[in-house]
Amino acid sequence: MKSRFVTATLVVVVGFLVIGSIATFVANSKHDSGVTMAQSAGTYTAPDGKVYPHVTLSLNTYPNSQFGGHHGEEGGTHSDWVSYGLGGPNGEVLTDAETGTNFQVPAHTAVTITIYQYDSGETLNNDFFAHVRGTVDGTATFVRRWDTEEKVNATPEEIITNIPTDMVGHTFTIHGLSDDQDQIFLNVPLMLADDDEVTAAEEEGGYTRYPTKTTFTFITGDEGEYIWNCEFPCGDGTIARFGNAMSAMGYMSGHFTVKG
Amino acid sequence: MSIETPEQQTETPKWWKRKDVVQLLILWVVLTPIIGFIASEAQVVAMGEPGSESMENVISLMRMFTWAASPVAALVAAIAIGSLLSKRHYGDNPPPEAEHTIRNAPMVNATWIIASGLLCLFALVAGMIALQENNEAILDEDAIHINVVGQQWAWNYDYPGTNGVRSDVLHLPVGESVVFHATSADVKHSFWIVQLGIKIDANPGETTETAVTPNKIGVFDIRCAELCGTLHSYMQNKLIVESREDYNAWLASQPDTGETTWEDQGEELQ
Repeated sequence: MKSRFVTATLVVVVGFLVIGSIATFVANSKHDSGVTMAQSAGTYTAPDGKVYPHVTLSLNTYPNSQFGGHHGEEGGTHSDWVSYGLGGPNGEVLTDAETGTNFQVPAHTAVTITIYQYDSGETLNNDFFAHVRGTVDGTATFVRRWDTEEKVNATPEEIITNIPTDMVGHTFTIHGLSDDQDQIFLNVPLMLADDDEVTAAEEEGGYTRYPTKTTFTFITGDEGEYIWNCEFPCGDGTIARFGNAMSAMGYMSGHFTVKG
Repeated sequence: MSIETPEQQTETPKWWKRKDVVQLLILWVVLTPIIGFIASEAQVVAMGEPGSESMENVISLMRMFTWAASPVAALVAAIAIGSLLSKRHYGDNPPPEAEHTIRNAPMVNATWIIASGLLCLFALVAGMIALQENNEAILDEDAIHINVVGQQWAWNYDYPGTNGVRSDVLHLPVGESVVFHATSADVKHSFWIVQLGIKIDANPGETTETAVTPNKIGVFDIRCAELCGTLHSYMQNKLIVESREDYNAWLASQPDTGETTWEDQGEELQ
């Protein structure tokens, strides 16, 4: 009887060890890029006259992960994968940013996000995502060429509600969920940067001087946990091009938390 | 006056009079309603309040199937419990009754196969009757037609009679038949409105159809029911069922994008 008890106990202990080891391995394999807290920027007056606290985020999209940042030196394990990354206020490439694709913003706040698109693009597989959705007034501000050296618009700024489906580089899309928390659905298409300039810059080991620049604002509701991802299939060489960078958190997707 | 022989005096009781069989039968009778009630009500709670007659039929069907299956589940449970509690043996010398051979029992096999077959036939017929509501909706000439596109990892909807009203949250008027034309922009998905009791594959390059008539105003869950990638579990959004007036007001408030997937589908439907 005693030996049976010992055997049963051993089986349970070994079982826990095996499951724990697998869980630890999976957790360590996850590319967790930390959490970026939005920067406070005073107040924002919405078109309806309401005044909200205002926060900002500045992001970049890259044709590869070699910028480093949250991927680590020289881009980490998959340096050839396209990736979002934290950017400077004028589109600067932040090679030492420790966070990248998980964001936290306050509740009941105006959030302004600026995204500099350093990558080229192609045609969307679903034109639904070529339209700006869920932002204040359903619009975004767009600059076709932003000069990263002079830090000025190289082309005039435009207000857009959509972009041509064959000129999409990536999208920034926050998904609403089927639960009791406040629903957010946000979609902003990012126009591609000039393909020749992107390729030429990549060959020199850098990024184009003239990314596109898209800025948009939306209002958060109550606290909630959301997921965002790019809806432009940019995981080359995979089924429906939604593998690799598209299916790995920390590259073209991440968490979006409304809290505080 | 008959005289019992010694063999008759030591004859074992009939099998149904054996103590362990009686205990088994009692346990079976007790467990059947318990399992039937818990299993049927738990899944009804998990499925949520129905938002259509189809779903009401599905829930009735699930209750019926669960109650029909509960005697079988209870019998298995009763045998398992009885065996574990009274038939356990420790040590190296098992009792003689532990030694037995597996016998061929054609009558038992035949009974089981026929009973299973009848149960399957019953499930098939009852299921088809329950889903008949959907067929009635799909044949309704006044039905609203909506295009559904699934994409890793979001749903979007395209409304007829508009100049490109498309949304991420589905809006429907209560009490009107709706036909969904589902497709996918990438891999296989499955369009599932949980509380309305409809689910249809959304396949790339193909359009599949299903229909329903929502009969209750409220907010319901839409999910993808086909494992479709990393963020599959987040491929969900809401259905808002509202009055016709509210539905019209919502449609009117939406921006016309000038782009629609509806015209092509509509032409195909004529």
